[in-house]
Parts: sequence; C-alpha cells; structure tokens
Amino acid sequence: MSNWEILGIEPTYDPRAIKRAYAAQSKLHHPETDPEGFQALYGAYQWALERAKTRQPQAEQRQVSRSVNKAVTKYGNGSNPPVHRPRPRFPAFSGGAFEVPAPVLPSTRNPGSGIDFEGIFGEVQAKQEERVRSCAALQTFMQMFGERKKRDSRGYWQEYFLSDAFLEMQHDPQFVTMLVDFLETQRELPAYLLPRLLCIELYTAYSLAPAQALPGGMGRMHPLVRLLESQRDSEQIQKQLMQEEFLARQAAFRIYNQLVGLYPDRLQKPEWESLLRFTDAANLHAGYTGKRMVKRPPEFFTLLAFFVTSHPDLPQEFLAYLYKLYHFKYFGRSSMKVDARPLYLALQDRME
Amino acid sequence: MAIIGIDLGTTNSLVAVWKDGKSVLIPNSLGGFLTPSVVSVDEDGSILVGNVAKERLISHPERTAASFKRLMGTSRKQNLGGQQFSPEELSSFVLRRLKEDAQTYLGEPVTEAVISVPAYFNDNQRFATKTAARLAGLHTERLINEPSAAALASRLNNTEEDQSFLVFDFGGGTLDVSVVDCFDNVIEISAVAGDNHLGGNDFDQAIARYFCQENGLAFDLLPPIKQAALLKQAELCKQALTEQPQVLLFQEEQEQKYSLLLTRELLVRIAAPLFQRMNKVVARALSDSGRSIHEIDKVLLVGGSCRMPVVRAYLTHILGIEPEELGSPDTVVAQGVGVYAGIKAQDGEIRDIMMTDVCPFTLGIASYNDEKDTRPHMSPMIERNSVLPTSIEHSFYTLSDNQKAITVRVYQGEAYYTESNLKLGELEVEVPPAPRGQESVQVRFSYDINGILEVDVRNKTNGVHKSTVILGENTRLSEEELQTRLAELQKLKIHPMDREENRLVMARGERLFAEAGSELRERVGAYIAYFQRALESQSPSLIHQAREQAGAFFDKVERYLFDHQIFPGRDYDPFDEDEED
Repeated sequence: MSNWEILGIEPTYDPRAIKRAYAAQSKLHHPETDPEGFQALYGAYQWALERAKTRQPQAEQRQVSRSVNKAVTKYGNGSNPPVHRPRPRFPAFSGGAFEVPAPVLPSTRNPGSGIDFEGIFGEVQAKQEERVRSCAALQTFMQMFGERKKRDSRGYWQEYFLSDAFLEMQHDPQFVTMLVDFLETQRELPAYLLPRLLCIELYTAYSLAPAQALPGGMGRMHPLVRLLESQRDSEQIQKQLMQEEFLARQAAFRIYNQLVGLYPDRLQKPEWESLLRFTDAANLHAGYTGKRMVKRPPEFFTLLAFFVTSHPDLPQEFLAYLYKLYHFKYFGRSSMKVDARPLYLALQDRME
Repeated sequence: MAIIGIDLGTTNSLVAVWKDGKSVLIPNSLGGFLTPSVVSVDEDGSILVGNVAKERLISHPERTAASFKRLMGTSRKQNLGGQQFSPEELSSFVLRRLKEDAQTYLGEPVTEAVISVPAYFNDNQRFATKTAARLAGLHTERLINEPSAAALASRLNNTEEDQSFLVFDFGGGTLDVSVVDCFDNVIEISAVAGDNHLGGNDFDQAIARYFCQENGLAFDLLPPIKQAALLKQAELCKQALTEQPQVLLFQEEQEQKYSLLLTRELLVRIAAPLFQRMNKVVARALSDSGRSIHEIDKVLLVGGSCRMPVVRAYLTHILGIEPEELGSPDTVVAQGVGVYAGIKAQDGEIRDIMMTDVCPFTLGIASYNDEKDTRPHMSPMIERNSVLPTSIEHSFYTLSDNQKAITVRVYQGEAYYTESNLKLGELEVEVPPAPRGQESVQVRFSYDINGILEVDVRNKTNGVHKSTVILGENTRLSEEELQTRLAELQKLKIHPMDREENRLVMARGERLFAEAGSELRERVGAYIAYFQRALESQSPSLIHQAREQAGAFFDKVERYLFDHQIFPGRDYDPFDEDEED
C-alpha cells in the first residue's frame, strides 16, 4: 500500500488536505484499538507533510529564515547561535548530556511589559562574573576541580575545606550559590556524577542532613542539598557518610557550624557550655557507636582556632572556658600537643 | 461504571469525572475542589489527609508529610509518628480519599481511574504512580501527561480552528512545556520538555535568601522554624506582588527589625537564573517540535505559579504573545483528565477525539564501537519526542570471536555514555559461535500508549527469542510484597469524613495558636477551648454554632496575620468589630 493509499487521498502538496485525511483515517486506526495500523498511518502522514514542506513557495521560506536572522543580531552576544533543528530522524544522533538548546530569542512581535528583562539579566550576569573572579576560595576550588588527580583525592579536599580561604567564605550565601552554580554548569563531569569524596566533604562541611530526615522536606532548602541529593549514587554516599572514619570530622564541623550560628547574640555561657561540654563529650569522645572511643579529631582544633581568630570580639569568658576545657595550662605535658597547637596559639594570642 | 480522572499534584490534588457531556470537578467533603496533598498521622495512629493534615504541617511537622510527589520513584521512606511510609503509600492515602469523595458524589463504587503525571516523569516515577493507585484500590491503565490534559481541556472549548499552542505548566516544584498541534478531531503533542526542579518554591527561596543577604543574616544558619516562617512570608509577598506593584517583606527578631521593599523588577533581578532556566526549557520544546516561535498561535498557562505577573511578562517578552489561561490554572489539568476519562470510557461524541502523545525521553541500549571500547555508549532506539505508540527494530552484532551471548541493556536518557543514563533492565540472548561481527540479534522496542516498554530480542541463526516487559529494578515491589503491603495499609484507619469539618477547625486553631503572637494567642486559645466544650456536649446544633463562630474568628485572625506581615504599618485590632464595617 502506498502512503497515499493509507491516507486515502490523491497525491497533494497541501498540508491542510494531508492533515484532514490523517484526522479522518485516525478514526479507523485509533492508537487505542489499532496500534499497528496507527503507526503506519502516522508514518504516511509525516512523510506527506515533510514532502509538502519542501515544496513550500520559495518566498515564504526565505521570509521565515530572515526573521530568525534578524532576531539573532538583535539578541547580541552571539555566543550561542540559534539553530533551527528539524526533528531528528532515526538513526541520526540527537541529544547528549551537554547539549544546550539555543535560547529562545526575545520576540520582535510584541513590545513587552515595561520590564527590561535583557538589561537586568545582563547586569546580573556582569556582577556575577565579577564576583566569581574576585573570590579566591572559589578560584581555588575551580582549579582543584579542573585537575583530575586532585578532584578525586580525599586529602586535597579535606585540606581545602579546612583552609582559611574556604572557612572565611563558607557561610556567605553568595559563595554557596556560586559554588552550586559552578558545579551545575561545569563541563568536566555531569552535575549528578560529582566525585563521591567531594560530596561527602560538602555534606560534612555544611553539616547537611539528608532531606528526608527533616520534617516536611526542610532539608531541601539548602541549595547544596538539592545538588547532592540528585547524585546518581546518592544512597551509597549517605551510607558512606555513616562510616566511622567520617563521623568524627562531621561532629567537629557540626559543633563549629553551631557555634557560628550562635554568634554573636546567642553565644551565651549556658549555650556554649552545653554545646562544647556535652556534644564534645558525647560525639567526639565516645563516637556514635557508644562503644569505641573516637579520637578527638585534629580538624576540631583547627576549626575552633579559626573561630577564635576570625571573631575578634569573643567574650574573654568564652576564651577562658576553652582554655580550661582543654587543659591548656598543662599544654606542654599534654598528649594532644600537635593537634591542639593551633587552638592553643590562637588562645594565647587573644587572652589577657 | 464511571472512570474517574485524578490530578495528583505536588501541592493539591483534584478529581473529576465525565458526566452529561462535560468534565465535572468533584467536591471533597468540605465542599472544595482542591484537596491538599498532605498526609498526617494522628496521635491515635490513624491517618489524616487533605486540609486537616495541611493545618498540622506547622503544628505537628514531625507527624506530617507534604510534597512527597517529588520523591516518587525513589525508595526514600518518611517517618511519621513512628511509622515508615514510602512515597507511593503516602500518595495512595490521597488517592484513597479522592476515590471516596468520588464514590460519595457518584453514588456508586469506583474502581478505575486515569491519573495525570508531569510530562517529564521517568519510567520509575510513572510506575510508582501506578503502584500508588493499586494500593488505593484503583485500576489505572492509563497515565496522562499533565500538559496534555490541559491541552485537551483547552481544545474542548474551541474545536473550530486549527491551532498550534504552547502549554506552559509551572507548578510549585516543576516546569513542563509542551508544544501542541490541533486540527479537526486530532490533538497532537509534538514535543515536551521540562525541568523537574524548577517551580514557584524556587522563587520563594530566592526572595528569602535575598532578604537575608540584604539584612546581613545567613539563611542557612537560621533555625528551621525561622527558615520556614521566612519562606512562608516570602511566598505571601510573592502572591501579594500579583496585585500590588510593590510589597514590604518584614521580619522582627529579638527587637531587631529587618525589612525589604520588593518590586516586580527586583524580583526579576533576584530570580534571574530561574528565568534563564525557564528559557532553556521553552527553547528545547520549540526546537524539538521543529517549530519557530512564529508558528505558535497561543500560549496556555497552567499551574499556580503562572499567576506571577513577572512570569507572564517574561513569556510575553520571549514569545511575543500575551499568554492566556483557561478558567483557574489550578483546575485546568483536572478538567482535562476528566475529559480523558470520558474518552477512555468511549463516551458519546468525544470518543472520536484522538490525542497522540510523545515519549519524553530517549530509550536505547548500551553498545560498543569495537573490542577496545571500555565505556559503553547509548544507541538510541526510540528518540525523545517520538509519537506513541511506536515500534522500532535494529540489529546489533557480536563484538568478539566465538562470543557466546549478547546482553541487551536498556537505558533511558540523553547522555552519550550509558553510565550517565538510567538503567531500566537487561536481557541476555545466546548466539552460536562465529567470527566476530557475523552473528547478530534483532532488537525491537515497542513503546505503547500506556507508557509500557516491551523489548524483544531475536537471533536468526538459532531462532532463540526472548521478550520482556521492562520494569525497573530497585524501587519496584514484587507482586507478593505489593499484596502484603496492601493488606497492611487496609488495616490503617483513615479518619472518617463526617468529622472532618470539626477536625479542620481544631487543626486550624492549633496552627494559628502556633503562629500568632502572645495577645492573639489567648483569644485563639479561648476559641479552641470553647469549641472543644461544644464538641464534648455532643449536641449537633451547639457544635454547629461553635464551629461557625470559631471559623469566623479564625478567618479574621488569618487576615490580620497576613496584613500584619505584608503591611506592618497597618496595625488594627482584629477583635474590634467596628473595623469590619
């Protein structure tokens, strides 16, 4: 049966007639009741339409393409030339994770609403680029991410997330946004296949809880959570997070982040006492298991030292409390000499 | 027997039925059409669904779940008051409630439903939706894409002209864009594109975060309760911007006053990345459909987030057409699903309407270029946006000498390497030993109108033939597990509907008590106590009277709280009766 016979009409270039024939025939070959008949009908219909398109009057075709061109020049930057793609046909290869469709061009048909969208977007983008350029912590992060060896290494990331450059920026909301933006748009890896060790470090550094652990999906609010939860091996990451080797580090960051959250108004004696005495004792000494003793992790002292140096107006009482809690009077004889040294020095520096 | 149509939304769910030649929305026991997709477990272990549960989101967050549609297709369980529930189970409670409402309305048992899902739902998410329906005792042969349902509702209003239109479905958490062609009795979806993580909630977040940034607060370090309050306020401001040119976001904390004057232009500025993501989705839908902007006759808005004037203005800006809506953007999908239920039942004159939909993603199998290839890449079988039903066959050859079998691994997704795509299943077929490249298998993919993929693999030489219906791996329950779970869920008591009104007033009172400041609290508390006494009296007339009074008072408190948040300057006494007139 020829395509025209399937459609039940004489050969024609009139798209309207083809559509009409298809509509009429579809009542006989409904996809619900006659899937095979429908597929043949649909094939014939597409074939006829395609054929009609190529015979369109020349003038009309040119007009369409010219209006597209005009729109291109209007849009300006030219970095993303819009391509009119006909629907791909098998087996032509379309798609791909990194395919970026051409943006829709601002239309010339209708003057808008009085809001200058393009102007605003341009400004926002320029500001954003400037911010990225001037943020050292982000630049370092991007560099590390660009090198495969560092990207997959645990040591480099652990060091980075304890560096002063990162800690200074950590809680700046713009930094978080830029970080997420970068991870979502970089071209090295798909955004859902980030290095597992990096994900673990991000969960740790920001003390993020998996979304479902919080009522009403509250955990989703952190922009990083969405990115981390969309990881392909999200479940394994969660599992790995609960492994003992990572727990002490998580506890250290949790206490540190809570301290930062308390500062300045709520950093009162009862608060810091309960935080440092009980959380410290429960999580760092005994660990989650309650059986084995987890050694007080060195990062805990690094973080506390950073907290002390970066907040010049901490109450003396707080500093004295730390000094006493960690027995710095006997520092020379202490077994935790090396690990605790940064905090010891910071306190020495600041205490009267 | 009637087939019902259900719009199972992230925020609200609706049910409709085809009756007397039109699609009719079915009211719930409280008289409204929108049933919040929220489930809560009462202290006695019974299940609360809908408005009552929604009120408990703030007063009992640890016993209440919302937005679980976002988790569909994953195996994440939520813990509510000590019981674990999967997203399918939570959805099944909502479906069960809607089914009961429909049965009350129709006066007959209902066993079959058509349910709408976001166009971009993948295979796992679709299957999870069907499982939820089964757990609710509904047979669901057909799922329909939400934008397609909206197109159907729109087409029924205007069957005269040939039209191409764009459906912009922008909800709380997702964006779906479809290009639709209509002529005669045909409604043809020619392309869909979407972003599963872009919705009105992202605007709330952007506002709240900007507010914090401007006021020197760190949003992520705020306690969760404060975050929730701030987000709720941001949402109110966003809604108020629909009517007003500018609003003031205001927050008082420990005698510190923070504020932010929000205008539409500022909203565009702080949400600029969201608009750019919107643009990407529209561009993909258009480019996949092979149409230029100029061939689109109209833009149809669906979903609550389309109420934002800035969204409309942006669409006008990029598409050059003033977008339209059909009735309320909240109900249009349900209307369409109701129509589809009618088509499914082959009812009267709409039986001839033919709607074709497309497969929103590419389906293919893993293949290697040669023996040295270490990472398999995707050989597409069914390209995204192919019209359903479709069936395609392709040959694949052996890779090494004397290869014993060919394994066909089925993937869904657009990435080049299969490791980045979603694996749906696999099949192994033995082949006779031969030099490489001589033996082959014929692989046929058939994707039917119900969104079920059948894979058929054949070897010509030895005539081995295997065929399977692809069902995903990890998240799916076996038939046995399903039956056990079904039995367990049947045991759970769902709160009877007759007491629902009373429950709602109580839950609402508790929420307002949690939200209001000290002075108001006393009054709210007094009304709760008053209503409780009325309930204990068990006299219907007394209860009725108390319910009306408490309800009216709570309305006032609600309005006062709203005004107070949006216009902090306009302070008035909510108890002052004169203010009313």
